[in-house]
Amino acid sequence: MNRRCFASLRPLVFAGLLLFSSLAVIPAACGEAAMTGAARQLAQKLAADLNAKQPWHFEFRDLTDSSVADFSEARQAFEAELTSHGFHLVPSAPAENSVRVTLSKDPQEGLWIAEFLRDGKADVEIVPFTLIAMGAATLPPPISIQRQFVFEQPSPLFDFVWAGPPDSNSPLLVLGPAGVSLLRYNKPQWQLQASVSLSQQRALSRDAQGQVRFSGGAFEARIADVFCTGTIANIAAMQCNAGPQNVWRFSGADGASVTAILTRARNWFEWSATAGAASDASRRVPFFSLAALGAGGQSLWVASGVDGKTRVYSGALTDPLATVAGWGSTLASIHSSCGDGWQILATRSGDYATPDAVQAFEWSGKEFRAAGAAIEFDGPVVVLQSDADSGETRAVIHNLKNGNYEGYTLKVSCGR
Amino acid sequence: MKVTRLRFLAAASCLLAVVAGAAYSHAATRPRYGGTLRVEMRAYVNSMDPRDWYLGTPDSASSERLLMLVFDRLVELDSDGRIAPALAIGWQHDANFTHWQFLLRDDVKFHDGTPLTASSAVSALQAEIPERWHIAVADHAVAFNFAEPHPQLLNELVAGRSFIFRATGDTVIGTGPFRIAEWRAQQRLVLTASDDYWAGRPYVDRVEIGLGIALQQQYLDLGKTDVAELAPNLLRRVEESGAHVSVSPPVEVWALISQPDGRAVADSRVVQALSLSIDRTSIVNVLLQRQGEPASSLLPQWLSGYAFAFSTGPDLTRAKQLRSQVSSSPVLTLVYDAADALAMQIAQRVAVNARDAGITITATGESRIVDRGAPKADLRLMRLRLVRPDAEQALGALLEQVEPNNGATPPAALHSPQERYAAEQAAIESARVIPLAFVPELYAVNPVVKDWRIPRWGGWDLASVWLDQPEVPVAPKGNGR
Repeated sequence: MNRRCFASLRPLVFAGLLLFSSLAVIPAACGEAAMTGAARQLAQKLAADLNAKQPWHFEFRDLTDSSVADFSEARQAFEAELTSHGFHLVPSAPAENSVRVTLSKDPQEGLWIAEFLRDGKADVEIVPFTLIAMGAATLPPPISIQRQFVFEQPSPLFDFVWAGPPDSNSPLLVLGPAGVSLLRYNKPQWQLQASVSLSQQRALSRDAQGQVRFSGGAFEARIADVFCTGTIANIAAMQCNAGPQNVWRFSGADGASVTAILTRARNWFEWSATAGAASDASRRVPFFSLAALGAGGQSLWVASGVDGKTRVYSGALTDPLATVAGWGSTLASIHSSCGDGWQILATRSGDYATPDAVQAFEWSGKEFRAAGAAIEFDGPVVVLQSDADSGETRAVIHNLKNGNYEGYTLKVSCGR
Repeated sequence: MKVTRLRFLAAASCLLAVVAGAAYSHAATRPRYGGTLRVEMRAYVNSMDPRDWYLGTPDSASSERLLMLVFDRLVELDSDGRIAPALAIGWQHDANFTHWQFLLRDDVKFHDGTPLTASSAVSALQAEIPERWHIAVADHAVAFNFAEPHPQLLNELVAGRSFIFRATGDTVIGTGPFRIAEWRAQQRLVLTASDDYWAGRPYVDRVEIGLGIALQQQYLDLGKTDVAELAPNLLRRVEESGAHVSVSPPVEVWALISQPDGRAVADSRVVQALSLSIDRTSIVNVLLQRQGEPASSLLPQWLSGYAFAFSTGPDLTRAKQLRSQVSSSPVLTLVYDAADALAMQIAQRVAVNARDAGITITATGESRIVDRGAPKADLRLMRLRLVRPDAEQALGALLEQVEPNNGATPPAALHSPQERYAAEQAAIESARVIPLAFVPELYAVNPVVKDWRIPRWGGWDLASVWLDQPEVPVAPKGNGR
């Protein structure tokens, strides 16, 4: 069972604020169950409030989604503590010798609350404790996409990449609106090691996109028209250039590439006149995201248009080969050993206020067909980035339940 | 207002037309730019000048919501209620919390093109903050200096009158996501997107907000507006018509407030008897159509975790006992907002319940345009709003509205749940307030409106809303090509 402790935000101080005030990166295994310790503490308070010479009845209830086992363990600890103070617990008693004990919570913490009568008047004792969120059981899904949770942070996240082999021994480069940061996993959580600002001359789009890539100790980062290079050995020395044009280059499956222009302060690309037949560029619908595919020896481009339709182009970028409806506008390709070796990972249509899903599709030569069931997320998928080196796709989810931005890697497993 | 069947049918037809149109529009995940968002509000907002804003007026929450579209603060709340940088990109303080410094974001401009400077920020804050605070310019930062530790400064700057503005005569100019294009007090506000907004230009080009529009009228306007507030009794009808309904957690508490010079406070036993006589469950189930929760505390269960410890059930026997202990009970005047049909129904229900306990209440509607000292009332029916999804801050603001302290005595400590419970219990036992029901914000939302999200404490984020329109967007001028 996957458990995570959600630490409350602490006052921000200058060092942590400027760029990464919210980069309190989280996943942390909890140690001793705080709930049980708090239950014991509540018993100690009641031992001071109540007369141990009288028999007492304690009624328990749970208003949270804690597991039965955890609740039961805490209850036993509570009762044992009272017994050690000389209390005699009975199955029933009059109201003046009855206490209702409730496990509750507020947005920040869990609460043990005891309600009882003191001198005939209602009174309560409350003991707070660190809230433990119970994660869903992580059974391997019977579908072809496998996800691996990497980390989460409260602030927006454009991209992330392992600065080394994809495991927690490697540092993680993280790109957000303010700049690049380097995290290291210091069990049980990721910790900020260094950060550098990526100053913008102009305001970003509210739906800005960015990329970070790593190779051989060096990295490249880009947000809108700012392009930066640096090394993880000294990321503070990162060099940035603001280009006159927001030209982005997209690599194709056959080694070719196309360029497109990210519209200033917006979230869509316009085709460059040099992309494919120049005369066609102005006729092509601007797009949100573009993915390259090498299905069946055929080089394809798949673009999610700003009109809500996804178009499939040949490598020459002439008229669309097909139009797909019903996909979301964030997509990426993934190179795998499944099927004909290439899949498109597409999000579900919807908006940023609704949960999202990612599903794999394969090109049949005429149309895209679902290659497996969709995997669901607790919020919109705001980023899908293909990584040709690892054969994985990076995904960023804005979790609507807790507000955090979560980084995942996605992989196609072929169902083997 | 009497509404004819024909008008209801017309409204429903408009709604269905909207829904049918949406079925042909193109679904997509990434936001699109452009279009005009039309919003209607019940509140009468008198001013778009932050200097005129006060906590505790009937429309203060709505007024603040509009001001936040035009003006920024040094810090803001993110979508989950956490304090985040806004005009200040960062801050620091000493170990004693007596010296604070807020470093300003670069390249922020007021809507007239004037750059934001530390000096202009200090000028704005000096007009808004308590006189005892000492603030000063420190390079591109704003410095706060206190004689005593002041650890709550961030919480104070994220709310209330701490907007940053530039005043030129009677005109105030902000740095927020929208600029004012048209303003008619209590009637209409038109905003246009600020292209250079530091957090990114809003997606919609224009927002038109109608003010002072009764809920029933908003329902009838649904075909021609994009976002309308909903009365609980209309919720099911709107859902059946196919429009989207957006419901927040309970973020407001209906409560009776004892007026300082009213007769109710003269003997707390009368107020306690009144509280025990009220059938809150009926108010929620019948008048609020189950869109809410009975309230006997100030904070709802989701925010406090302990609200269940306050009993909500009526106890008529105990109410009569308390009433009988008072030799002569006056006829109490209960004042409610005359323009709010729901308030009238709740006030009347309270009067009926009170009569069962032997207490006579006269429920009287008053004009929504508040004359702050005019009406003579013993009790006032009010909607109190949670200002933040933070129990300590929310309770502090509620207590300030229930019994304005004006800094006369130090506020009660509210750091721990035990302290907050004790403060709530003291406020209720002192008969200053009788909570009745927790209610959510309800909206009918046109299906073309995307990314409409209500934060956990209610409110809007109109800069992030977009309209699902089929047009191919046009690149803005100066795209660098």
